[in-house]
Amino acid sequence: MLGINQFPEYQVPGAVQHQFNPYENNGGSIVAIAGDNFAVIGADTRLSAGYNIFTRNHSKLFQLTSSAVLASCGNWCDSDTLTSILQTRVRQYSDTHENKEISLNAIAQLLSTMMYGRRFFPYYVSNILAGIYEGKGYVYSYDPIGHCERHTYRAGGSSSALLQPILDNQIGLKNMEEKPTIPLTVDRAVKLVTDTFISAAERDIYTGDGVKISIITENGVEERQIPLRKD
Amino acid sequence: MALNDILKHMPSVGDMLSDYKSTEEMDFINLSQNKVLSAPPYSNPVENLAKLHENNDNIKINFDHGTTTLGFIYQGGVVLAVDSRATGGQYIGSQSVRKVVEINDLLLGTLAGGAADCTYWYRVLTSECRLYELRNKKKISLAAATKIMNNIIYSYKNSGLSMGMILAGGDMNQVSLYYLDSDGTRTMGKVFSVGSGSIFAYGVLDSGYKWELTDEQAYELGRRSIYHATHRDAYSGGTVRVYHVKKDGWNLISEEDCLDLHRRYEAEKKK
Amino acid sequence: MMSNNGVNFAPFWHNGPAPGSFYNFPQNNIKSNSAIDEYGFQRNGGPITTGTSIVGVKYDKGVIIAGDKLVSYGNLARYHNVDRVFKINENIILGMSGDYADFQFIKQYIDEIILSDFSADDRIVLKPKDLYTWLTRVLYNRRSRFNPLWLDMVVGGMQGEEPFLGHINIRGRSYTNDVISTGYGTHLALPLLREYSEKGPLNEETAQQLIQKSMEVLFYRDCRGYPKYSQANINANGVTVSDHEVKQNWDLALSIKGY
Repeated sequence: MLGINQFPEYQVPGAVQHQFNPYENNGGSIVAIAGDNFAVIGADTRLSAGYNIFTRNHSKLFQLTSSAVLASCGNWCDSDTLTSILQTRVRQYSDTHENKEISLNAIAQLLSTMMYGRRFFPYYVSNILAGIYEGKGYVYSYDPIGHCERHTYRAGGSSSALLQPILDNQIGLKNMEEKPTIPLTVDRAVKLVTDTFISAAERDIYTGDGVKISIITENGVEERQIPLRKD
Repeated sequence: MALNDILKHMPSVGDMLSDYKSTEEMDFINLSQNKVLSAPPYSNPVENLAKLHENNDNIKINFDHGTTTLGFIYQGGVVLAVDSRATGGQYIGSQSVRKVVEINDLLLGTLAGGAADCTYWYRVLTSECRLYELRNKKKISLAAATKIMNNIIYSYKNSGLSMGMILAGGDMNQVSLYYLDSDGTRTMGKVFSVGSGSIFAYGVLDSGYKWELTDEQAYELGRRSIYHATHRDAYSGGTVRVYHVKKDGWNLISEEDCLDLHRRYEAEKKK
Repeated sequence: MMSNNGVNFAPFWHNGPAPGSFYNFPQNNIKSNSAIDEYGFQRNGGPITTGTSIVGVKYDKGVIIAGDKLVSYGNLARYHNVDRVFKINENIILGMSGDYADFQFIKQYIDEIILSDFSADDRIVLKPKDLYTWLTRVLYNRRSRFNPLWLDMVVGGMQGEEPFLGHINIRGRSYTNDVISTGYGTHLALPLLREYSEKGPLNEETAQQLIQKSMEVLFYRDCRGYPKYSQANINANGVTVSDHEVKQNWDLALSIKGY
């Protein structure tokens, strides 16, 4: 087929060339913290691309079971596709296992394998999975091609590099000579997540508008929403 | 006849073009056939995946990678030592990666290169090794395990995978050591170091290595080599882990933060 | 790759690290080779005959979607009386911007779905969310094959009692919101619409006025704009598609002097 590529002399700045790019950065930040018997996971509610904000009320949290919540951001169409396929598989599992819910660690591995399946055309997403398994809180994070690692706390998305150091300091107590002993309660974890998002909204244009926080305990998942700066 | 039945026989736009159909079935073919990955919708993934990411305004897909790993044989078996840092671009993605993969109670492997590449294919290898046991009623030898892995990796040669692995384990009543990488190399040897910090590790390792090392000396040599690599290579760091592999199985010897090691070695120097 | 005092070592293995340096993952080291077609094969470049912005507003009891009646061919104002806002069925309205040929293709298929939905006669009628989700999948799967439908679409309608308004773009990136605009409208119309919608739900009259104002602004400032526009209004009473025209006033032009 004839196209402008066959006529290099016409490839000047004036000639409009449309180049299709399958990826789009829709921004968004996600944070999760695991406690002894709970997990807290939060995501901002802004959907944007470049300098445009599409919507200010957009959930990036996906409740998969009564004890697992996934947060996904990056290229929204990839997140959308990946999470809906994952939700289908989670449902399929319970339908073929006498309504038993799939466990958190099984979801963690399933997601990793699914993401690696697209090794050569990756889902451009940042995923964090949080939940409880056998009474304990866990957080799993992923790179775009499915490298999965377990953590006690993790930040991902557009301001991951801004948020992770706060968590390293407040929860990881990294490189401190005298480590304070503050117990990590649900309330403190929720406050920390909220605070990190307030900081991110201050410095990252792709993060803001609001935070959705899911608190996962043995009693199920509780959702909260906190407003953020809308600029 | 209902109107709907008539419609079924009419040609549809959708029938003529299957383009709207989902790619899902092929995307997750690896869930049922773990050695098959879905092909990209473009040719030559090495160059074109790169172009795809180059053309993005502000998208940079960073996969976790960066490493120093080593392994050597001495009279008492094999020592494997690794760091624990994973970097995505300039950002330290993690300081707590477990770069020694415990394949079964006889075999260990180290990972360098793409973290997802290595962990995925190690998982496939683990399942292959277990299947071998079930089929043959005996443990797989390291030679056979590395050959399986090598065959898989070779089938993906030039597709952009990045892996450098050292495998150690019991093999016909002796302990041996193999090096594999994503070019399809598979070599047996006595001393290997892999990763961005490997030259620094080799410097220490080669100067202290001899066959007659005691267990304690061997652990310390591995540890010190990785420590020096974490000190000089920006892409290595975190925790230094040392494993000992013997004919009848492996042991985790130590896990130490390289800051603690730094202070200890510094104190030793001053004595 | 980092240089080591001008000495370049070869990597240990393909894509591996050179001594003391970083792994050479494919995306970190790019050899630009412009002679080769993008991604190794040729595709139909981009949009040719295009429609510009679509504006959609949700009000308390329904949804309005509007778009002008021009379809352009590059800089040429090619077709002057083309509908870009459609009634799909009693529940759904749809506005398109982007490549008109791609839209005709997808519209043909939507019409087939509506026809078979109607002929099934099962009293289950396609709702806006169904079409919205379906379009999202179609556009995503086409982008995943590197053969995108160059479209930006706004789906509106009544999801039972609730008004629904959603947007799907070329990549299958979709979201729902109270006010939606595509193309130039994201810059020109959205701020205007948000100023009102963020204060709380609009009523039909204000929504109508906002649409009118938006189309006016778009006509004055968008080079591919046009004074004639069509609008679809859906609520519990059904769908009405109507034609409108921006009341032009160029008196102001005479008072601008100095350049």
